[in-house]
Amino acid sequence: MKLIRNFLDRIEPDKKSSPFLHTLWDGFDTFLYAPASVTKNGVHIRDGMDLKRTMIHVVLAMQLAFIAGVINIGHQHYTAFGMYGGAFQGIGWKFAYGLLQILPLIIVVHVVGLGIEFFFAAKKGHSIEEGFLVSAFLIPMIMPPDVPLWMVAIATAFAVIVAKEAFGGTGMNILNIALTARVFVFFAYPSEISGEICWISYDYNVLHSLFGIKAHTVDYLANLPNGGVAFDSMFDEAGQFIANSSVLIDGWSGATPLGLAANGGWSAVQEASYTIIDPVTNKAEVFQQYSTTNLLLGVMPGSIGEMNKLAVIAGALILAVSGIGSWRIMLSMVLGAVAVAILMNILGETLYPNQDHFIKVPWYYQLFMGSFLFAMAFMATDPVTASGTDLGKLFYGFGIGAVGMVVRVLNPAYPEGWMLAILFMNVFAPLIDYFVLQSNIKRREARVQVQ
Amino acid sequence: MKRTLRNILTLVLFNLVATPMFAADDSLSNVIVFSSLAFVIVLLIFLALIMGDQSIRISRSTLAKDEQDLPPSFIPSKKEIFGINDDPIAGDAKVHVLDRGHEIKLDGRADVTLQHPEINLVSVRPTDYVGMQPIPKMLVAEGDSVKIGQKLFHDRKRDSFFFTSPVAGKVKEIRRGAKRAIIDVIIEVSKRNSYVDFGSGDPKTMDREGVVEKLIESGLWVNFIERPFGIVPDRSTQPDAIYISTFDTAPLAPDYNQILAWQGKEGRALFQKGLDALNVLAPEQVHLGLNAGEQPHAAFTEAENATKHWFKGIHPAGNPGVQLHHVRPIGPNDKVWTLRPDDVIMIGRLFETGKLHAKRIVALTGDCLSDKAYIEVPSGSAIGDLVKDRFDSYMAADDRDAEEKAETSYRMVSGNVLSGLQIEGEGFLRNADAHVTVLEEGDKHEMFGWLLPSYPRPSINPTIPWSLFSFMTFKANTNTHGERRAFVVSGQYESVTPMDLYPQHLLKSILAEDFESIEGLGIYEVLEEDLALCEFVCTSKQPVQETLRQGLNFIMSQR
Repeated sequence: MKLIRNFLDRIEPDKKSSPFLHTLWDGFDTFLYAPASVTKNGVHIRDGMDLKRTMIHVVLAMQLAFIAGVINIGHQHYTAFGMYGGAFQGIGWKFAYGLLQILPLIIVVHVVGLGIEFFFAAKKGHSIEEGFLVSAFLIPMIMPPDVPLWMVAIATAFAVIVAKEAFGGTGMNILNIALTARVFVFFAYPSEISGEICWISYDYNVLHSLFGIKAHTVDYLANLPNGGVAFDSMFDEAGQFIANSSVLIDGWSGATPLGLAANGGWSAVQEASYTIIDPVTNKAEVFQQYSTTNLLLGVMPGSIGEMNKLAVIAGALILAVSGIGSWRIMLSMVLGAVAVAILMNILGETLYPNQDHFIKVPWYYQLFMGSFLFAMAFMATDPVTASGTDLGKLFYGFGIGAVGMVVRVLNPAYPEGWMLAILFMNVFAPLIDYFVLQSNIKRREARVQVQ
Repeated sequence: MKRTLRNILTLVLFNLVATPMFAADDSLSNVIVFSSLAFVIVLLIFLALIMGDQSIRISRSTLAKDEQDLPPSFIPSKKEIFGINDDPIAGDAKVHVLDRGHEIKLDGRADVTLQHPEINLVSVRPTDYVGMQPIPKMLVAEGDSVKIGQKLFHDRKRDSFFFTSPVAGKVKEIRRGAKRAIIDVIIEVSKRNSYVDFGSGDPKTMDREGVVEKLIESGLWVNFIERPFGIVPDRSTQPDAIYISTFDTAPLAPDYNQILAWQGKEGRALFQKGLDALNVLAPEQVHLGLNAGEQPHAAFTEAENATKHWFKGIHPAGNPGVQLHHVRPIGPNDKVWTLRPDDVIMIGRLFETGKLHAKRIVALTGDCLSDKAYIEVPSGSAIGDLVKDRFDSYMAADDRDAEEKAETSYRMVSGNVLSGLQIEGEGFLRNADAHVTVLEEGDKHEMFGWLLPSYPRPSINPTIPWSLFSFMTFKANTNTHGERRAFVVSGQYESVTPMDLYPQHLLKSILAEDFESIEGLGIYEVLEEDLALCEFVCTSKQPVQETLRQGLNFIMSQR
């Protein structure tokens, strides 16, 4: 242990002559060792909690959802090819496929984002700030799994520079960094992030070829008992996956439950099904695509983070119990969404009495579709962009819940609202705080005057 | 209120989880939708009731005492329904329950024994007082011999602030710093005591001028702390109130009940005499803050000529600033003086004997000392040698290896670990302190310390595993456990501040020098010690007390 410490001390670069090297060294040094700095006058002892620990706990709370999401990416992929229809069939292959699909995304976000962070830290003469640890993990979790890497790189750079460093770094930003990256992709490359095709991963990248994942699929398809299918016949000339080209699966579409509900109401979601034809017996088996269990366990197309609701709730509980994420925001956001959803249900009964419509989707299913829970647990609770007062947090959360549900249900173009709702309320958070503080000031004035 | 809310939340969450489970059937789901709608409406009515109740309380607190004809709450309390009294110590008096705060449980409480160690050096330090001119007017020179109570120097601007010698002896050295500012005056203690006689007298029969004169002449005047700003008051100031908190909730703080018990009957009479003198300065406006959680000494509970207020809670409930917030909020034009109980006894003794008796019973605390006890020493004593002996004998008995022991150093703090002053070398106490804490320096790297803490440390955050066990006490060291960052986490400061105050926003407005916000957010109600816990819990390791002092100085300079 001493050896590493002495080595680090020996190679410390000079801060003045090489600030960039020093920031880099400082980053690794404080990662390996908690610093030996001591308190000066003021308090003489300090709480054991610091920002690094706060941020790493958010990342840790995300891990369950991450692992479940990675497996599900594989599951969706193989199901589209007619392979491994059961949830636990070939789970190792599913995990390997999902991980290798996401890994390049994570690496690109970290390299681009941390590079910019290091640059700015060195320029400012600060040490590297930990806020990006969380953002860098959130960004891959809210992107479509197939999104081109260069697009993610640009979005990350945009988010870090414009949403964060322009305001002065971690703690000063107004907008949520990860959501800024997503909103950038959403508005700059809308075709990549909406529609039916984007939420399932069909492609094989270099890593898949390297680790033999692609070869496994090619072999599997070629050696089916009924004569086999050529791998390339699954794709058209432009390299796009042809849905239903397979002899193995029928009725499959990549439409998300929200997409279905937006067009055909709740019944469309429940009726969505596909048929897998067993290659040995040639027997067809019909699966309901979005049963309640599937919604809860996240067996559906989407970005990684939003999938497994149980894992996300576990993460939310970790954050709430440890006090790192505000339970006030989470709770009031649920209340806001529920209130508006119930209102929608009632409105729906009068507006569309005999017809199924998105507005009539039962409010409790609204909570389990799409990325509501993920946004609640990890996006809305970002302490920097949320309201800073306890009372303000209640209004802030309620606002997100209400606005998000309105966007989701009443907006014809885009069947999900949390990204826009959170960014919207981010902008309003300082205003909410202002009113809370003003009431505090008025109360104080009144109290002092009577003395 | 808090518990009711928690119950409601559990119900709501349960409903949210449970209803979809049972909603398999469509006809059923309609029933569920409307029943939950009814539930939500009931919930809203209940919330409205609670909020109405709260607003009544708030508007009541803004009324003057004699106008408070509104009932305190329309939800009856446990006391009103069942006649159960939660606070038998306070009797029928109203108890302010302060439910926010944090108790840092440290090892090294002082044993209940009183020692009388010999002290050779004593210092008087002008820098301990806020608002003093850096170069006071000296009245003695090096080598002069002085009596107890003899004037040493006074402030140049306000010549009523006399600093007197707490011991008889010889002026050994006058230490000067940059620009010849005086750091301290060191006096060598002689064996024989000789006193300056200020004349005894019953304060009840004296007029205000006489009491003021005596306090200023004897040098006890400088023990008054005037809020807002925490300065030594002017001679001509008429205080709106004088407030004494009779208990200290800071980590390892001295127990004033015990200190009074050691002084016996005499102590009780002296305390009352001190209160009588204060009553002349602020007629009918002397307030005592008492602890409803632990039986206070009879001198406090049976004190006359003082309004008593009962408080129950963990640190910072014992701070006069926090208590004043609940009984007498301080505005921009108020002048409220605070004192500690042992200062009141000193004042009482001055009027009883006509002599200055500047000895204090000091709690010598800290986990790295062998013999922790209360010691009776003159104020401003040099305790460096005493501490060093006890630290050495503690280390000799410790089971760490020799190399580790050689690397371990300690820090002396005059006062408590939250707002005390680091003292070095001879270790001269602050004049007004009755508390010393000694703790190990934490100047060691810790591998992955931010991720996997390797030894127990105090924290309010449950992710630090030891914080989950309420029985744990800690050997704290001075490591910062992290680096300074911008404000990120919110709500932390408020969770340890039992006042209607937003410390983080107050600090931000100080940094922005936004005069109106600083005033409005309540800077007049706080001093450094009241927000010290915020600095302890701060994830971003911000210098809260330093920033607050900046703000106080900024406001003072603008007036």
